[in-house]
Amino acid sequence: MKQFNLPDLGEGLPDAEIVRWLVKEGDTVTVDQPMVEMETAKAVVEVPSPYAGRIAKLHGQEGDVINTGDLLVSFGDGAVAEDDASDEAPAEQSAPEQSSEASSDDVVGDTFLLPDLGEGLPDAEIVRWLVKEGDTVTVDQPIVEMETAKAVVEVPSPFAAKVTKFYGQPGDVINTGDPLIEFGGSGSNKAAPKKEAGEEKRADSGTVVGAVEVGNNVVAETTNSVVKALARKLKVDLTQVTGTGKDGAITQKDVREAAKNGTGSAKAEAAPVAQQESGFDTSNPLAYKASPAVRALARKLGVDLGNCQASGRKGSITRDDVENASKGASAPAASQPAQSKASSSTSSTPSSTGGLPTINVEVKPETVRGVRRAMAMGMAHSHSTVVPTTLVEDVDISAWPKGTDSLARYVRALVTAAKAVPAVNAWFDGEKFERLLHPNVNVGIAVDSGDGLYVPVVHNADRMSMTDVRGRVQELRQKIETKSLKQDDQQNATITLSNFGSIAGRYGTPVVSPPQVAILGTGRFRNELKLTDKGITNAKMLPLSLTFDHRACTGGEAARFLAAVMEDLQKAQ
Amino acid sequence: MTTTTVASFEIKYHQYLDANGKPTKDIPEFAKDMNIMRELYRDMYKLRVFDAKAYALQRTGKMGTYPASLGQEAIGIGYGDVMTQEDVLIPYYRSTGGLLKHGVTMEEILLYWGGDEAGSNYSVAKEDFPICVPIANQIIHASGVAKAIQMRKQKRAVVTEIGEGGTSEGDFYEGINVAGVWNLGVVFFINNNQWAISVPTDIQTACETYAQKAIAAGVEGIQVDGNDIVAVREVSNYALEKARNGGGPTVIEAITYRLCDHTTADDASRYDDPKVKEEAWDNEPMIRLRKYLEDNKAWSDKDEEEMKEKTAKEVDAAVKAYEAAPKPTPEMMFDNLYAELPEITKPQREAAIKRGAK
Amino acid sequence: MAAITLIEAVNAAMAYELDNDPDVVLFGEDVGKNGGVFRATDGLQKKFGKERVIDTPLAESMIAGLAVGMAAQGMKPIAEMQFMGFIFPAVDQIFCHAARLRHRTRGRITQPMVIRAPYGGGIHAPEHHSESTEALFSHIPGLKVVIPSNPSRAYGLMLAAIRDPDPVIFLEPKRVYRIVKHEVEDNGEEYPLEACFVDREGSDITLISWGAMMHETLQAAEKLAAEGIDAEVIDVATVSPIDMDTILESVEKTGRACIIQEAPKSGSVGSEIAAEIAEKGILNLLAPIGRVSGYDTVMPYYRLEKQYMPTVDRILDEVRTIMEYK
Repeated sequence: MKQFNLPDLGEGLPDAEIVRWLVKEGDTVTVDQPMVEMETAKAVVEVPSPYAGRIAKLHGQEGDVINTGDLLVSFGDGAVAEDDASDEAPAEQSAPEQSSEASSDDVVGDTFLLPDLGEGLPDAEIVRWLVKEGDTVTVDQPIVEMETAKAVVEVPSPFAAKVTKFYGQPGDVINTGDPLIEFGGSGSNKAAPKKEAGEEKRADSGTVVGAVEVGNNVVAETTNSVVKALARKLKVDLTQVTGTGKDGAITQKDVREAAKNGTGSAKAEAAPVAQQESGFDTSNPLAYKASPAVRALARKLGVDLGNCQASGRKGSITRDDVENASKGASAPAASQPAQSKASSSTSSTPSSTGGLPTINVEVKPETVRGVRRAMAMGMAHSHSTVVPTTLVEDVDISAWPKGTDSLARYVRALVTAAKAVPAVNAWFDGEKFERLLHPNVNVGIAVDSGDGLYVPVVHNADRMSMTDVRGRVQELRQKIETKSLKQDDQQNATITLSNFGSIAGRYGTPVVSPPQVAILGTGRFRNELKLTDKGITNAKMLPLSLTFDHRACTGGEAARFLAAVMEDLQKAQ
Repeated sequence: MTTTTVASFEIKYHQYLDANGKPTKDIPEFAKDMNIMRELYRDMYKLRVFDAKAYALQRTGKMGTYPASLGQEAIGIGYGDVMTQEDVLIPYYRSTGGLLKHGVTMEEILLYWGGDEAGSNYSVAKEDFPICVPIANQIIHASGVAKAIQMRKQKRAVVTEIGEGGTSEGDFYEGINVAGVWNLGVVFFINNNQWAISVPTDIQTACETYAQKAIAAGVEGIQVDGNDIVAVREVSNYALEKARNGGGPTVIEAITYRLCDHTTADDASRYDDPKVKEEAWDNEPMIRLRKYLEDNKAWSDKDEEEMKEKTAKEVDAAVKAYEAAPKPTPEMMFDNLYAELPEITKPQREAAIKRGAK
Repeated sequence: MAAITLIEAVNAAMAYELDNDPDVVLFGEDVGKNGGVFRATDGLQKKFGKERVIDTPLAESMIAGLAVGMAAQGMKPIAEMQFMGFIFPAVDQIFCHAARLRHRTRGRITQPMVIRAPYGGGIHAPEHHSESTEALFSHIPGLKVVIPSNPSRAYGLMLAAIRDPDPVIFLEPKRVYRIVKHEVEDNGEEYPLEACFVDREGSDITLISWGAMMHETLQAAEKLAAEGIDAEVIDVATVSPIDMDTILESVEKTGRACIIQEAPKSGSVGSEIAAEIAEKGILNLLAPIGRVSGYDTVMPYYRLEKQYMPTVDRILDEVRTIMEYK
């Protein structure tokens, strides 16, 4: 059975629409009998039959759009092309030198392909043949007049040879690079101009100045990327959005709805979140903040960034930190766990190693003022009143999905535990022997700054979503940076969180700030091999240190509180 | 060689009052209404006083560069008088007369030249463009506005103005050409005050008239005595009515003389001829209107005194309001850049606010 | 739903919004009966009439200036520049008025408009037809510059551009006008502007590109995957104002960045992205930022066009160099 696929109808267009069938299934047609009217972007053209025979099937209804190269008509057995016999054999014979390059459907041989007629045009129309099939022509003898969009030009013969076949009649449009004439017989061995290797077929509809590559591949849009981009722009947390699309997929509409309704709102700023999480995987160089120069120095000195104490801006490792680590002058970060609670200032690091050379620099004491002074007084007050006891534990947080906002999770865990064990979310007055169990949870968050320790408060954290918590923390950090933190922002904490692990430190003995009775310290994540039913797995472990005032709480209360914190932190979401 | 004339053109010149305020032909009806004529006189005077005050503000460091309209008052006051509030004005920097007539306040104009965008946020003429500083761009805006009006089938005229030097710009031709081919309701006023800063008209163009530039766009071109308020108002009225009623565009060349500097930053005595300027003073528009009013027993010294007193008060009040206007604050640099400030720009806004207004 | 090319998507989006919003009006040279020299406006005049799809006289400054005037009246013009190489007379109107009117009138007059132009090289066109000059426009505050990389984005972003209350320069990478098709639902759903699209997630390096070069970049990413390099690919799409958050977050994850653009290297959109990464993300960088771009020379006549334009191989070479920094 012969098949006829829709040819390129002369405009380099990818498809054409069936306007009207001129034949029916079962009809017998002759070669060149018009079969169908097809409409391209530019013209309605009649498509003639390439075969003589009976039409078995028409592939498409009027109005259907058929892609170039797709099946249009099937002919019954016995259909023959007029030039079936002569079509391929002479071409093979006449092109012995090119035969190795010529594929069966791209016969070049002594076939002359329509060259670019000088305007970068995709095609040209045959106006008039100046020779006949069978004529013998000389090199440069005009053989055909072709009309481009801009001019009528005579095309000369590239060969001295006999013309064996024309690939078109006057009025036909030939694409640049498509066969125009075939030469045969005693032709010279001058090669026909061929398509430039790798050059795609010229095919453009419309422009008079170039060739736009045409493809018929249908590619899928990565809809996921669009939804994510929209969510980011509208500050929607996709984890809070229910998808209404196919298979529960989240659609753009879902995201817009969520943004409008405020559900899943206000995703936190990206950078600071990641900063919090960067202590996650210590084998990853990106777990540390360091400029390329610092990284290069660490490489040169053979220093592991993990052994450097970060003293730079935004928790970054400086060249001094690397050099100190290289000299072994700086104790590993974990040895000063409570440091971050008090202040990360390296100037307060005691010279405990004993091997330091004498310092000859004259140092004058400076008066401690402001926030630093308040810290000193607060700590002393705590030390003189509170009876601190510290519990430490590790919690497995492997279930957390990538991108989990750790700080918001800590706050949520504190809220959950406070509800379970109210005695720990309390104020205690040691003189009057009164305690106040708070119905709401106001979480103080220890924030290290150049000025000293700030403890801004997320009020009513028990009534906030994690996103709200993150937003509030951001706001408070901003205020600290712009020195616009108000007294109100720092008052009435009912319990405190110290996330020293975001800098360094596994366990610590955080200091309770009266009248509060407890403070939870979260240390640096680490990976730990763990034996489970499924064998050895890698677990992400988060160290916890809970200090409580034993005047106000029992050890049991504190332990139950810690257990409740852990239970919440172990959850995936 | 035999030829055939395939097209021929002429440019008509319009004048009703000569330099002595005497009618040169039958005057139009409105000019017989002395209330209208007195008001036109007062408006021209107000513009002149306002210009003088603006110069003084610039010279005392209270305002930036300012271009005056001295000697050219009849143009803006003339077309402005026949504009309705629905019409749209697309001004250039020497359109003060037209702006004032169309409801833009003196305070707003002072704020504009005093370096505050608030001066372009017109409280009354809500659809008028702010002053166009790049030469001739406004010509195309006028055609664009007129196209929108045409598409919405509204009966509104668009008026724009340009100096004669500006007609050498490509945008001038592009703007009038499309107005011609689309039959847009625009009135293009050319203020031919003889000077493009220091360049006189004889080295600006080889055309006999600027009005004839309209012919190349297939647009009606009219020349008018720009110092004759009667002629300017009459021709404007014709062109605006035509514009409102689907009659298409008109280019009007108003011939006048720039008796002032280009702007406060210019010194015209470096290039102009004092003798020519002296003669131009004999031609200026206010003297002839005053003579016309006096000939019609419609103006007295008392009227003159009252006008001076009233105008001085009005201008002083505007200056006071200008000086008391709240200073723009740094965030204003950002707040109308887009409907919504891009994320990437927000930190810059915050930084500018933090540094504060200095 | 139909499988359509990028240029058909542009056409579909404009048709949708012409139908949807009576204030939308489309004009330019040859956009009417001829349907645009690339056929971007094919059939639109027939469908919406000569009043709304208008052939203008041949003057680019005029086309942009008309858009300024019409937008000031609250219409939403879509103005076509036949080729980006001919946009320069219009720059005066775009920079001095379209970009500024909202600001200088304190919001009284706004400029909702789209200026469309086919841009970029790769189609063997005569000179002045192949340059990538998006940086000139992205430098101007008050404008948005949007470059779609595929049919879906052309549709969604064009709708967003028309609906945006501010002027948008919409640059259509003509080399990929017809190179692939997408199934695009003609439902009027816009895509976000000022948002990057992460087209491939990866962990080793962030490849940042836009427009036609996204095709080479995605191909390079696949080849890199075969070498064991897992590249994240970001389509910037709105090159001004840039959504740097997405880029920075990616670089924070990968530690490496390579920017791929067709435009010359110096003073380009790529320069700006590199500067932003250096400014805000340097602490996360494991290697210098790489750039693969057109050369800092005049766009050559088309015989050298392929040598000028970045190729998959050039991207691969640059990425391998970046990956050498351990």
